[in-house]
Amino acid sequence: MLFPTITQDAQLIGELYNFVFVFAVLIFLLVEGLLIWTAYKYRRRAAGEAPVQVHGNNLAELTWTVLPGVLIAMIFGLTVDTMSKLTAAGSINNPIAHVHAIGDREAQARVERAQKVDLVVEVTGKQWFWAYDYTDYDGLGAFGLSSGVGDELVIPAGKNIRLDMTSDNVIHAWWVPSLGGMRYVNPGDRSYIWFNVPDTGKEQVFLGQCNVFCGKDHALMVAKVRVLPEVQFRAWYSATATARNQPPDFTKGDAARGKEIFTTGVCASCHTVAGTKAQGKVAPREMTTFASLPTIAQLPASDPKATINTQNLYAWLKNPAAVKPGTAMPNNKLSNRDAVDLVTYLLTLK
Amino acid sequence: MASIPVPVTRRGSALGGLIDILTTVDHKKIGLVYIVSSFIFFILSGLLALGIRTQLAVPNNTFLPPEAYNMVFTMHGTGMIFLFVIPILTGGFGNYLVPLQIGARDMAFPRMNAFSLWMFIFAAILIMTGVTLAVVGYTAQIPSLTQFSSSAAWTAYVPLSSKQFSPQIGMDLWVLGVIALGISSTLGAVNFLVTIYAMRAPGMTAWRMPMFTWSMTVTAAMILVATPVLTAAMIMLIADRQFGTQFFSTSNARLWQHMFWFYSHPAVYIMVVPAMGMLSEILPVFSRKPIFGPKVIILSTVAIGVLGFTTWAHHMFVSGISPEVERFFMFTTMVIAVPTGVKIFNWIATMWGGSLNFKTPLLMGFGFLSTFVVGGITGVVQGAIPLDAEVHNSYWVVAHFHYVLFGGSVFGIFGGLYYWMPKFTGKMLDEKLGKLHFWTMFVGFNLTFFPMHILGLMGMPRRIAVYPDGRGWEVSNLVATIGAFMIALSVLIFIINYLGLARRPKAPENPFEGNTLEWATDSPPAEYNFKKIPVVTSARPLWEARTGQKDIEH
Repeated sequence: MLFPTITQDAQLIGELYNFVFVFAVLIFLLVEGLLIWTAYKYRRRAAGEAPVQVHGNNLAELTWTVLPGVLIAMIFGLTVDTMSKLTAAGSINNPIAHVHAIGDREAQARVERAQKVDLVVEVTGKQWFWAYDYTDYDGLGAFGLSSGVGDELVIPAGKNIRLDMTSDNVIHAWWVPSLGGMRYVNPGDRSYIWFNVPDTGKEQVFLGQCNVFCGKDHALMVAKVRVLPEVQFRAWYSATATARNQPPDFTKGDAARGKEIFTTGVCASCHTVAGTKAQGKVAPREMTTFASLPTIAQLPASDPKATINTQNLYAWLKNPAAVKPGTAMPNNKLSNRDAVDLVTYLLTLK
Repeated sequence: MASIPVPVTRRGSALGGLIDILTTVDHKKIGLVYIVSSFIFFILSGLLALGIRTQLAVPNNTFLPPEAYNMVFTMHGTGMIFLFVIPILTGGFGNYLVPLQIGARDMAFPRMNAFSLWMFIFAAILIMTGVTLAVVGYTAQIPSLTQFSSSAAWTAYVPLSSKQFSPQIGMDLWVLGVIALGISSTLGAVNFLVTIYAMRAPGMTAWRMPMFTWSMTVTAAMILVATPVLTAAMIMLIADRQFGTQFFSTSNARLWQHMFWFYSHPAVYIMVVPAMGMLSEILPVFSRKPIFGPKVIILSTVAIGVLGFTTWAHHMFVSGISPEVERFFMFTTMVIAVPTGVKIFNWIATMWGGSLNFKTPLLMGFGFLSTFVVGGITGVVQGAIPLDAEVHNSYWVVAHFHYVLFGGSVFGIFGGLYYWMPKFTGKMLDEKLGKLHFWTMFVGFNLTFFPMHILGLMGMPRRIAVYPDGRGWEVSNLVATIGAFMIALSVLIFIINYLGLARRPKAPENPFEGNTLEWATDSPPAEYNFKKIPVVTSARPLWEARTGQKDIEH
């Protein structure tokens, strides 16, 4: 492996690679050597040469059928052994690492350690960036990083990290080679990846990229992972959580920014506002004169959450299902600021 | 078309020749139209490859905007696979050679054969017109023209290829084109199987069939099983796009992957097995020896044909299928290396102790063997699931399949073109230009694709329109680009060689001491192939006639 293998999983993969690579080189040298030797030794020297007509040799053919078979069996066995020790490859809809290490106590213990997750980050593949939602770390609360511009995944060193990954558009893939392995990030289900980056006492940065072609700017969908020593991470986490979770301040609402989010972001994939780029055809009614409508989401006017005002609209955008159970509108995990700006914009649509 | 040096202008005028091509049901003319047209698509798809390599020559390049780059790599893959390698090997060489090799006067269903050809041409025009319009659109800044090409990669994974994420009409043209190609290919497969089953000359038992005909038998069987699944998937996709049938709704995204790879993995063998068959013809002839272990060569081809259908999900090791299923596909993927390895050793043994005549076809054969083995080895490496999890979709994979499909199929195709050109045209290609072609292509090929292994192991994903500097990817990419232009130069040398054919002397009936029946008739053969249908008594009828010795019985 030409990239540094940082995590234990990546190291295991690197060792398997090195083992297989030795045999790959040996077979390569054998075949190329035979070819060169044949070309030199048996080149035609005289026009009338009449070589002996050999039609085959059962023993020779059996040998070069069985020996490669044995070699393949060996590589297969070693690969299965490596797989039993890996924790990274959690399968679909299953957040628990598969324990195949039956009888291998050391590997078993390692998998079990890895299952004690210290930090879960919900990763959403967007077109074309990664959005990170931190559910909690040691009781410090939840927040999201999803502006789409230059967000990094920040994690603590020496801790078990699990990424719970999904997509709300096309298929993506999470691939940070140094951290071991790759998983597709699929719309409609969840995939999982684990890692534990050893603590070096210093900040570490690892680069990766989306690895399933996902449309126009696939090339720009970089995954940057910043690993901080635990103390620094804790400071970063509480500072970011506080900043991201500022209570909503409607006096600072920015309708122009709200319009930008609405017309270029996720809202526009379903909703229409005449005269803008938002031309989605999914939602039941168009939004051009939204602020003049009687209620939010056709709720009965008797419902105290139905009247269109800043507080109600804010609550609706932050968690639609809590206002109207069963609604088709998803929770888009808007940050407080984004929600405030959207509310301000929506109230201008008269 | 007027430049094809084949006897199509016998009716006396260019118009007569054109009408002859358009109405012919002769397997040889159909084969040659396949070869010439698919070679034109090879050139077009190759130009797209030069676009890719120019864009990636240096970091942060702006030669192609991302939309244009995405279209270019999509159409490079589509063109090379569907419009070049498969049609030239099956429709081209297969059509021309199989009836001759088995001593028949034509294919079993000549008019269906013509239908397959024109279905292929129609599909190719559908796809290639879209690309041409889009290229014009990007260069002349006419946005309305850019929508005529697909840009969802040749794999067209849903939901990326759905109406929502690929709204342009080019995606529909692409799907329709692939459906038409699938019909053409499936009918062709039926034609080959019936021809080979029913129309062999007296005395040609299964074990006496030439190696290329055997490889076409296996290829046709694979096409017959695999291609309808792809066609079905494409019909479902276009129904989703046009009528909202929701076959591949979000929760069914993996259904597309299964159906697509159920065809597209065997397609790799569909593309390489005929080339292997041509190699099994060329190596014995240019070594003056019989093929070593013919039954083992044949059975390993059959084994590849069968096992080829059990490995498709290795394209999905990281897409989220159960670990138990993954292990099964890992096993089959590794096992298929065994029959392939057997072939390589049998081929070397064929030449061992021979009298190697280093004409261009044999050089191309060495090009095939020495590069294909690299693709075979890397195939086993990435068949191991944990390693696949680090190299999947990276440039390592790009290197791997080019070593298989360029190293194997394309070297094989050029070997076949040099070997059978006297039969096709009655003229010999120039040997000096041929050797120059080989060495330029061999060096260019390795310069282009070997560094891609390194790029993949350094973490460079495939299908990216641009890459930043500072990741250590610069040198390998630049070398690859230089190599790509060398390959282009080598193809240019071949075209010059071909265009010079008219001035070359008339070829003898059997210039390379070929042993199979296509060399037992005129070059080029008359419309009825053989004056008298030959009676076959061994696998090498012409060797017996030439040496006066008896070949071994099968």
